[in-house]
Amino acid sequence: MTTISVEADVYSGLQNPVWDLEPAEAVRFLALVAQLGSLDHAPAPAPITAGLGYRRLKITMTTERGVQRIVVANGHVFFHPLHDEPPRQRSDDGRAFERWVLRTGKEALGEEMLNALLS
Amino acid sequence: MIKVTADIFSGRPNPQWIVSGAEAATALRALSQQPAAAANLDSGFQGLGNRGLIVEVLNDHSQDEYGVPAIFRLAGSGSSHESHARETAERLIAALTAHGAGDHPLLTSAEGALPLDADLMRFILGGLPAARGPLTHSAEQAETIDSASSVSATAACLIETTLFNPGFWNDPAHISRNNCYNYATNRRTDTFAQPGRASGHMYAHINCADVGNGAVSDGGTFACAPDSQKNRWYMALVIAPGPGFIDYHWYRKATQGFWGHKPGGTAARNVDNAGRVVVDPRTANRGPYTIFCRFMFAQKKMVVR
Repeated sequence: MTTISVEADVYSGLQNPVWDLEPAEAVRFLALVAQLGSLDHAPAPAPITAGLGYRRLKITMTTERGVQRIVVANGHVFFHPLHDEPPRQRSDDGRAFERWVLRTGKEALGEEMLNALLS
Repeated sequence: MIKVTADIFSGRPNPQWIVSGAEAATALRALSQQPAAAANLDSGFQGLGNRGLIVEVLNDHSQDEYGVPAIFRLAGSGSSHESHARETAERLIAALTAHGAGDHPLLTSAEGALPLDADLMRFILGGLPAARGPLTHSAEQAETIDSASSVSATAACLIETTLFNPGFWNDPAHISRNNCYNYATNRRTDTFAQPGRASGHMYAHINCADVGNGAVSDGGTFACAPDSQKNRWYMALVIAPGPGFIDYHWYRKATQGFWGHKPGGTAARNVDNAGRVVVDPRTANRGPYTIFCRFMFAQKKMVVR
């Protein structure tokens, strides 16, 4: 069974919003990951993961194989190494994947915050 | 038993000596009462000159008994309790002239090493980074309360600063557990501290008044603090008012004159959202944190959690 938790890395003083995907959302999540574009050209620029305001999504996916950490930022998806595998990157064109993940957190984020992050 | 290295030279061998017996026990006991005074080896001043002491505890039971790391840096301006670190460092430095301190079998004899004498003791003591900081300055304080209020007061207060030391905050074991409030108050509690939580008066709403008063409840102050309340860190509070994005953020002034800050669980930095060094938090690019609330002070009695 796959469980997926998401942290919107957004705040400075307050704790970041966190939420878990429902089972059906987790299935959809995996399907969307499989559709992410490849980065077979030059290395992607570093994502904006510092500073004040929304920075990134930090995703923890737990499967039978172990715990996979994923960062979504700036149109890119970074898969941290799992076991001996090398780290992977995928393209998130138009930030469509990021927006979908954000929408799964409507309750944790609140409607106004969600709209602010999607705008 | 403790092995002490004065991390002071670049080319020639650093002075080393052994502290044992009651002197070692006293120093370790003092550190056990303020463990944060023992800093990571890669923290603090790392340039040319006196970088403080490298202290190695040579027996397991002492580490367990006193709860100190096996090896750490002391009085290199890398801890959040430098005055305490300096007191212990002075004690260890004073022991370098003790009989047998420099010819212990655990020390490697090095050609060109300076003799362990009173001159060397004075030389090391005089150059400790902690002797240069925290530095006391005068702070011109222009306060603004909430966006709707005008400048309400101007005062000159004495403050202390330390060198910008992001390594202390960006250590992987601590980076995600400390936020802007930890950084601004210079208290690495690993609790993602909230204004007012330690004192039981946490803010009810995210606005300048509630968050600022929460910090005052923790022991911060809007007014000048007396010398007895050193170290008085100079902080600035800003607010992201929404709609949607509502949060608070803090900065702290560094010895170099700029301001450092730590956005949530991310790395401590001294630049704003435009990548410019923060010379004034009022004019820095703060992203959604558009309201500058006020300057205020942490002080010795402040406790955060």
